[in-house]
Formats: sequence, structure tokens, C-alpha cells
Amino acid sequence: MAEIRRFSKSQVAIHALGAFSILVLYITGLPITFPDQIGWIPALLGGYPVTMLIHRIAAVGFIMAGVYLVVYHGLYDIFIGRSYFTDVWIKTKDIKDAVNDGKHILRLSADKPPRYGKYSWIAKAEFWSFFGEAAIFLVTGSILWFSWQSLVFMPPQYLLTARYIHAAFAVVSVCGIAFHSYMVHFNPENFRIDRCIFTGSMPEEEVKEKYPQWHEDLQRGDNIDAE
Amino acid sequence: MKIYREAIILMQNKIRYSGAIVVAIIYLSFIAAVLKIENPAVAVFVIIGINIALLFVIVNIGALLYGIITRNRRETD
Repeated sequence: MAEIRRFSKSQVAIHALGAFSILVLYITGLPITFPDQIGWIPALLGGYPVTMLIHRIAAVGFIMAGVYLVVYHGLYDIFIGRSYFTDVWIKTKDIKDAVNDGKHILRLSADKPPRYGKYSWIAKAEFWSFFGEAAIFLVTGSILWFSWQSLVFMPPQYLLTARYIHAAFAVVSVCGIAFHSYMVHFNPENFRIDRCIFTGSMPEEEVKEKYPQWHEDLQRGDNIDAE
Repeated sequence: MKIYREAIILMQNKIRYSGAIVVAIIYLSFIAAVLKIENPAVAVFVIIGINIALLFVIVNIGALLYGIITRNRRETD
């Protein structure tokens, strides 16, 4: 069966580094917000100072993944003209797809479900929500990490606000990860694991079934491989 | 190996709604925790929900490492 390339090596690497870092960030960060419920994690890791150290090491990994994503793909987009960002950019079709999907799920429409391109509106929404959350984590996390230096520029209550925003978005982000986990692991279509993000390719039959618009584009030769 | 495959297929059929229910429990427990609802039953629900969320995260790390390690291995079925 023919395999179609979906992700480049750099995309696979960014996903691996970013995902591993953010999962470690959750494990070490959530006990600080919910010490009564999951205080056993820092106890297991050797106390809060060790937990915070691991949290900061993971944060460096996460920042590296983010910087690499923005710089490499951003430059690729500017100089080559097509990158991952070109593919995930939200278009009018995605909004129409979301509305039609909603109608289809609620059985308000007898039409066929939308024909997805390379990335569905769900994948794009997931990407941009994580991207936005990552930017918020970067700003608020930096304020908290360098709290003494931050006090030179801002009053102490801003630090407390940054802490609340950091924690609140962590909870929102975990909920996003729970949804992502459901889609790539527990969804019957992909159960046990969707291997595409690791191998970078998927069988043509699967592309035809899940992403018919992308398959058509490929057949027409419209879709150039984006880095 | 055959038993293993049969178990996977069985789970595949059962997981359809149970996965979604688990995600819903996680969401509700976070909402209850953030709202700081002072009720012993809710407190137990929140503890269970947040620990499940953490378990989800740990399972994801396992799945990620499994995917990276076995990326060159072809699925036989």
C-alpha cells in the first residue's frame, strides 16, 4: 500500500520535544496548583525544590521547541513561500466545515460531512490554541521564574496575577491535552495509537478516507510538500 | 498473540463512549476545583478527576515514548 508523507522530519522532531516537555511541565506544575489532590507527586520526586527544578528544565525544552517552530518554519515561509504555517492557517472553508460538522453531529443537516484538506478545522483549532497557550506560558512563566528581576519593572500584585494566569491556562491546556489524547488514542478510528506523527506518513487509503480534499489535491499535483 | 489481538478489538469496541466519559470527568473535576465547591462528595470527585487527568498525562508520555521508539516498526495487522 502506498504511503503518503504527511509530516516532515522537523515537524516530527518538534512534536516529540514539545509534547515531552509539556507533559513533564504538567506533571511537575499541576501539583503546585492542586497540592491537596496531587501533592503525592512532589513527595515522590523528592520535594518541591526538585519538582521546580524539573519544571524549569522542561520549560527550557518547551521554549526551544517553540522557538525552533517559529524561527525555522517562519523563515521557510518567508523565503521559500510555503511552510507548516501555510497549511495550518485558518481559512473561510474551516469555519464553514466547523458549522457543517456541528450540523452533521446534531443531525440538523442531511448533507455529507465536510471533506477535509490536509488539516481539518479541529487540527487547526488544536494547533492555534496550543500556540496561544504556549505564548501565555512563556510570558507568565518568565515573570515567575525571574520574579526578583520582574519586581524592578512591575508591582508585586502583577506577579500574583501572572501566577493565576499561568495556573488557569495550565488547567485549560490539560483539558486540551485530554481532548487530544481522546482523538489520537481512544477514538475508535485511531485506537490504540495514531502512529502518523512518529512515522511522518500515512497509507493512501487512510488519506482518501479521512482527508478526501487533500487526496484530491495530491492527485491534481496541487499540494507541494511543505517543510 | 491471538488473545492479545482479540483483547484489543474488544477494547476498541468498548472504548467508544468510555473515553469520552473519562474526558468529561476530568473537565468537571477541574471546574469543581476552580470553583472551590465545599462539599465532601465533590471533594472526592475532584481528587479522583485530577488524579485521572494526571494518569492521562503519564499515559501520554508512555505513548509518546512508545511511538518514538517503534517509529520504524511496521504494523503487522
